[in-house]
Amino acid sequence: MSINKLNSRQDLENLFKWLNEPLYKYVYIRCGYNRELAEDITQDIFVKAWEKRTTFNPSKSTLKNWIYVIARNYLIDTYRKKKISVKSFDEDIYVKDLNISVEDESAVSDILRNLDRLKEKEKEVIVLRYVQDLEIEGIAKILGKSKNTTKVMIHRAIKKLKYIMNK
Amino acid sequence: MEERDLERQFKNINPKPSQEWQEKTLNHLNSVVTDSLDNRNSNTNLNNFFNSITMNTKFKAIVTVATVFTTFAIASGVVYASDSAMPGEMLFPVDKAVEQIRRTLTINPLDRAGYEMDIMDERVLELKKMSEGENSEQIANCISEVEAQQERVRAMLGEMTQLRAGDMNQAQEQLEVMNKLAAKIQNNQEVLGEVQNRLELKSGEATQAGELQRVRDSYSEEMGSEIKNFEESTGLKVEAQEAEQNKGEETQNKNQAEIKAGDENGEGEPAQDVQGVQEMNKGENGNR
Repeated sequence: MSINKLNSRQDLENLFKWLNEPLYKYVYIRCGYNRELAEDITQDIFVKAWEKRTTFNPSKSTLKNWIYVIARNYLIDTYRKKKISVKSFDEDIYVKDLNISVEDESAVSDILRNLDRLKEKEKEVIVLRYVQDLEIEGIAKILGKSKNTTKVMIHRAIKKLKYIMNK
Repeated sequence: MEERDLERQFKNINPKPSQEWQEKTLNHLNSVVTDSLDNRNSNTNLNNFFNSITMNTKFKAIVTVATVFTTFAIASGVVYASDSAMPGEMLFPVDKAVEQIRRTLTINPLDRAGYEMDIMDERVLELKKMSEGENSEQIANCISEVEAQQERVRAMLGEMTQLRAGDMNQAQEQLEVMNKLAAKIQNNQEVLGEVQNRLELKSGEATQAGELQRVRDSYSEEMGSEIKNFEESTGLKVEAQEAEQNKGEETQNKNQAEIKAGDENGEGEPAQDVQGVQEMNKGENGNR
């Protein structure tokens, strides 16, 4: 499913069905693996999107990138207002929420624990690129950076993560 | 761990929101859409109305002209209505404010003296009208207003006396004004005499009658003094203009007839009536 307009009740419903899980995943990892908080924030993001629908310009951005910008800004605002107390990944508490196979549990837990040791910007680009599986061009638009800068940021972040994990 | 392994493991991370949350959120979004559309409709109606006003320049011009006209008409109406306002009434302060504005705008002393005399007439008539009623407090106010205006007239006459020094042409011009003023002063005295008689006949108004007697004496004395000054410094004789004089005589005769009729009907005390006529005549003589 891919839609690129947000004018009606049906458009919003379609957008929600299409992107509620990816957005929830993005928010869940960014807000400290707090399920309830992630659900509240994700709901607020869709409400914001509806309220700001007149600012969406299909000729400048895709609807998907546009709603990620809204999500990112909303998270920054929420951090700023100190509504989020960021916690590090705790395998015992959170691993069941991740829907991963038992054999991968240990490896994923290890990755997420080390991911939390990165700077917030580094963590952000890794989540967008590898967890959300977004194109570099899309990430560049979400971050408001050039494609090359974004590519470099992602490369450095993943290199740093690898370094930390292999140390 | 290699980059490729990392990528694969990241893709395995798949936290999902609960189905219950998804259903609740869909309902919530539905209500958000409904609310926003309702608001938009009501705003659209308002916007359409205001847009129609904004867009229709002809209508806008008509509204502007009508607003200006209405404001002007209301203001004029208030000023006009205030002119006949009596002391104690809501519009009386407006009347006084308008008088003050006109006073400030009337620069020529001759015109100003005429204007102050017109106001004096107004104050005297207000007192006369008030004396026909029963409001003792407002009668006292009216007498105070007459006295205050009398002071303004006297001040203007004093100013005119200073102006005429060494200028006989101007003095001649002022003589005409003085003649008119003298006639008006005479009329005022007659009306005030009539009011005094009425107050003396009314029970409980003896104090006001006495107060008015004092004001009349002062008016007569001060105006007489100003006129005398003028005559002495110019050698010109001030005489109340004939038409006004005749009118004054008519008023005087009418007063005397009313008093006589009152006597015959047994109203009041004859001695007081006679005294009132005598005081009135005294006032007139003082002016002359």
